[in-house]
Amino acid sequence: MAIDSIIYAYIVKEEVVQPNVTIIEEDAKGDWLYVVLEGKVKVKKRTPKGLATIDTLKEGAIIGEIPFLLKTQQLRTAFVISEGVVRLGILDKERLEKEYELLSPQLKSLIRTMVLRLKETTKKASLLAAEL
Amino acid sequence: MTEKKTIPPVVHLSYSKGDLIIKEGDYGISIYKIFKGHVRIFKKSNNTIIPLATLVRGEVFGEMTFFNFLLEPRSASVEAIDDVELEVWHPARLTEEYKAMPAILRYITQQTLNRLLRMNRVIDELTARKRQSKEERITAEKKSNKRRYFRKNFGQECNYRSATHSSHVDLHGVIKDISPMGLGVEVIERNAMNFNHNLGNQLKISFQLPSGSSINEVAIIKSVKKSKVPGCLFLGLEFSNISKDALKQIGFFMMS
Repeated sequence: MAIDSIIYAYIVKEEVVQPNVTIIEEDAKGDWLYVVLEGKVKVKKRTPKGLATIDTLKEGAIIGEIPFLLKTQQLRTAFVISEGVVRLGILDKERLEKEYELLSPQLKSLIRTMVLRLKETTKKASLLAAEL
Repeated sequence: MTEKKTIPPVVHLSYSKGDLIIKEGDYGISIYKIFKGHVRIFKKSNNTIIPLATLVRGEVFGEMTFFNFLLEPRSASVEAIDDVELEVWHPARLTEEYKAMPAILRYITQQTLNRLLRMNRVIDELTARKRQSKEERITAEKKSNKRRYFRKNFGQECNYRSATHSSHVDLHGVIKDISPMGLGVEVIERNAMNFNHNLGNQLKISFQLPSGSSINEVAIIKSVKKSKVPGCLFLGLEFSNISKDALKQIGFFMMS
């Protein structure tokens, strides 16, 4: 999947990570946003039976958007781990924040609602996956 | 340009406990904000209700259809848990704002929507698999009629007789293994003259544990096999309503 040019305009730094490196750690503090430029990453969540893989993301995927969009709770909701060698772009958070703040309260609350829903359903899916 | 004006509420609606506010599969355009009360979001899959969330005052629902550009039907149902008052937003002006917002924010929002739709599908699939595997496990357990617990080897003699028919004849057997759930007992085939060793038959069994405790319990025949010893049968028995004391004594023996 080609990276959309609108994303390149927001990349402030690029990083290359080796296979099996934890890019984002669940429950750690942080609201940086990344875009996967090359390679694949696995999204995993803690469950009572260990880590459950809930998604695999590839080129073009934005990662770390949940704490950024929720604002009030800036804890990471899942692990993101490189599958092979992965090239990441770090996005300009300050610019994104300024643009996000310009949205109306109604639109922001709609986006926030959807992000909360994603957080809840991801947790539910990981618990179900661990049970099977 | 991005519109920043506050969108006035178009309508206020009230619902009573149990009222369906949104029905999964219907087409609708409105977005709702809860002013009072609680609502429950749920999906139906193969006649099973899958609860997704409970929302309270200040929370919003109906957002999925909005971000899907009204192309998809409602992805879940919403029901009033108690008396609910809602503010209903018409999506028209929000749609204009959404289309005009910075492309990267739209990209992130669209990606969040796609992940949410995928997670909802994953939950549907996993719930169906969980139900299927539970049904398969119950069927398999019924079919196999096996006792599935850790059993301790034992070599204790026992007496048994029918639990359902009056009989004065105590039959003899040897307990080969024991667990808090049941026993494996070797009996002579010709005991069948006084008691039918059929699956499901209940018997009263009595024996002593090495501690000296006497156990007198009712058990049901779950399996019948030919024993390695010629002329003998091996019965798999499961206790029915074992007493607390017997359970405790067997437990101590299992740990010894």
